[in-house]
Amino acid sequence: MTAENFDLLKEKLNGRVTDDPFETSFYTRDMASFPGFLVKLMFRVGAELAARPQSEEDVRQLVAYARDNHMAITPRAGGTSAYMNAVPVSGGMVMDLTGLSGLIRLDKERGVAEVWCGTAWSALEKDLNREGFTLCSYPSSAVSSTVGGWFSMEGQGIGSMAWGCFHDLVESAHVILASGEEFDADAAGPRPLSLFAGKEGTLAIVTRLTFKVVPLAEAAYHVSFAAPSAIVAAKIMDMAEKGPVKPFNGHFADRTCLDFQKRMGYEVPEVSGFLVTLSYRGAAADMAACRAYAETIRLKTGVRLCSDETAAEEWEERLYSLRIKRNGPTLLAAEVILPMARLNDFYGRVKKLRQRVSVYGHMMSGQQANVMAQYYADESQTLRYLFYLAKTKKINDAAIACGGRPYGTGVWNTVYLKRSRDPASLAEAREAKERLDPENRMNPGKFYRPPKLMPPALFGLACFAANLGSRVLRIGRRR
Amino acid sequence: MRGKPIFENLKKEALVCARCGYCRVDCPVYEGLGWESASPRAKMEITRKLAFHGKLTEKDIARLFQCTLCGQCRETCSARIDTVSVWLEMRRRIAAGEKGPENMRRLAAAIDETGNTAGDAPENRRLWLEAMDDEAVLKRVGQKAELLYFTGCSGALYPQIYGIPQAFTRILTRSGADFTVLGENESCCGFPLAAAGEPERIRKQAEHNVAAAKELGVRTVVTTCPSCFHAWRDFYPEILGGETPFEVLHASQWLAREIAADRLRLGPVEERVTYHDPCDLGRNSGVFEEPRYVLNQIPGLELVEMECSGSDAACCGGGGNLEAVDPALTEVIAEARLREAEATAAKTVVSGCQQCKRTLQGNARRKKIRLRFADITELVDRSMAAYEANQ
Repeated sequence: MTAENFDLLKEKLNGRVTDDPFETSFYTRDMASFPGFLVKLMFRVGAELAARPQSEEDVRQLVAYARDNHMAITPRAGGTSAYMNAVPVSGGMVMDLTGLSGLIRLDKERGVAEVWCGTAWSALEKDLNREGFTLCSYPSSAVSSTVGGWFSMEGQGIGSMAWGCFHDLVESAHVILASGEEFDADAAGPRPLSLFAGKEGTLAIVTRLTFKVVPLAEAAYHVSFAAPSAIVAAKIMDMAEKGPVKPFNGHFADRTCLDFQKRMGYEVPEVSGFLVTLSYRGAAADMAACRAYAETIRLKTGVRLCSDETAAEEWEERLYSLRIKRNGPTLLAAEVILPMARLNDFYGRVKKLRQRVSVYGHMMSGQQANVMAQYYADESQTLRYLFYLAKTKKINDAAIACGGRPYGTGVWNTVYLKRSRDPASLAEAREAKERLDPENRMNPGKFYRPPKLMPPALFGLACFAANLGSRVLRIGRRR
Repeated sequence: MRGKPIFENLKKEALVCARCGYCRVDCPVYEGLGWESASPRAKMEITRKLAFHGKLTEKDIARLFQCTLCGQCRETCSARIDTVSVWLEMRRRIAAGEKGPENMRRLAAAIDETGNTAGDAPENRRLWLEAMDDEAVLKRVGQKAELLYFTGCSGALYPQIYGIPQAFTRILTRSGADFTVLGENESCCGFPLAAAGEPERIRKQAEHNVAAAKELGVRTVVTTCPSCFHAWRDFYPEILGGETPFEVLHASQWLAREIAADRLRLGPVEERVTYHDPCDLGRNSGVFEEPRYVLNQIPGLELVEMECSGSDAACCGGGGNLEAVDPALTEVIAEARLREAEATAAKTVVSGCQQCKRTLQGNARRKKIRLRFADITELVDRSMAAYEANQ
């Protein structure tokens, strides 16, 4: 890149692009914590440029600049993922899309909203509520994560029990390829929407999305059950799924999760196995049926109903699962997708980790759950921390063994690709990548293949040795 | 409830931060500057640098002081970190190494030397009183009394704010309260010293003010400034090692109590107003209801809320001594708040803070935004005058 060209770009973007290492340094991490030496050894972490487009025209200018200078582009918004999905690992430009924010239009008749990609879910919900509408579903990090970010990820979260994957709610997306070509992708056509959904920004920049929204519900009803085991928890979810009114959301937390909360000073209900919460929303008249059905579930499963306060609290705190982090101070996690019927099997395997692991999950459609298995560690003790990190592999292995898979790919979960993804869909994704981004400039180093320095066999061996070491050294036993 | 925010030490909080970015969403500084480096999440990264490596660059330091200490990030923090305490401790560590911004150092030195933020002669604290041209009020300076009206530096020394202490003094007089003011014997509450990173210097201010109040037999201290209120109520007991022998109230709390007890006579004020929650009174001190109660008791007054109000209220941009280090950023933040106020179609923005009024009013003038500004005491004063006029 020449200084002249860069100055011109700066001018066009009114100063919202910089090569100042101070500014670019803040885009080199996401929510996960990995020892710096390890990351530096494996990747060229960091970008030469950081840019903050505020319009589609800005994005065009930046894409053209990157194209002309053969530069990688890492799209980023909330930065709330944990697998380096939005961290530049091949230099180039990091494009902070949070400036493309806001509700563009709401079609009340059709129940669709067109929204800029950098809009935070919480802000969008406020905007929609003012118009008498609400979101169908949103991620459990909705306070700061963005519409475009969730579309680029797997799109499973709160409300997915009723509405399914967010990808299926999207009607169209405006995409800009690395070549500069742009178009609206929808369900049909040679480059359909499904091609870009969940690809973690490796194919294109999605600038705006049009998706389904619904009128605000008249009423809501939340109910919590004290299930004695994972089997009963799964049974409750199964009954809820098949009930006369489908819950908007279903989530569960195991006893360890509640214990972790208790250690933080929160009041938690006495539950021997799982706290299962169902949240209904809809017409006021339907709520009586929901209550009646909750009673049916209680009678048929023989579980105890928790207080209304507990159910309300579970709902209120749905976006704050990280409130238990302080006890770590690091909270390591593996997020997986799991068939609910195998929850008990998965739970049994996770409990063999020789460290307390809390299990927390949201129901998806089709009797599957998005499960977060979390355990404490301390990243300030670097050597020991490596042993803790290796334990996530055991959790991911447990999920795969139970017919599940890791949620999200980024860099770190590429080592599970062969074991967890359907080979045909993976081949199709790779083919699309080669076709749409032949120079591999869109978010390179993610999603399709493991890094060269981290082949799955070597990764597996290293984790095996570390986990053996953990066992001998009793790492994590007291946590 | 997500529980009380916690601050243990810098190392711990830097590790506890989950980097979820919840703190970015409503941060006025991040909103104003746009760069990730300006977000509270980045400030936690800077905290981590200092806590574990002990060194900061000039740019790191500049970002840390670009903060209004409004507490919005503490409200949304998913890991329940008392972020405001983190920022204050960071400022303290930086100031201890004499690396803080020059303007902050000058401010702290001025308070230390003159007892006020303006660096004025102490006797200038009487000017607002003298301007009232009321001998009876002047006589109250330094008199023994039940109630001390602690004016604060802004009210006492900035002529464009004189209206607030004058209004509150008239209310006190009309109510028949047994009150006094310290006049030239009043010293800065010390709150700006904490924001400047020099909390150790607050002790001198606290000892002076508490001794002066004790000497006058005061039982209740009332302030019109939320920062003074916060310092008297929360800092002084901590610094002086125990409870102070006073009840400490913000003027809005005192007004609410007096109105509820039917001791203030209110007349009509036909106006549509919106209430701006000062950060140090609302989020940082938990006073949300009383100002609204007071406003709702004024006949004819229509109170409309801004989009962000109560614990979600946006900052005016005047907190954290931000104006001393980045006045342009203060302007950006103030303008955003003014636009919110404008959207309510209210004629007047009411607040319970001298600094908020000064910041919002000044920026409205610069941006040619047609809004009027009043402190809650000024509205009550008008309302009482209207009652008297109707008798």
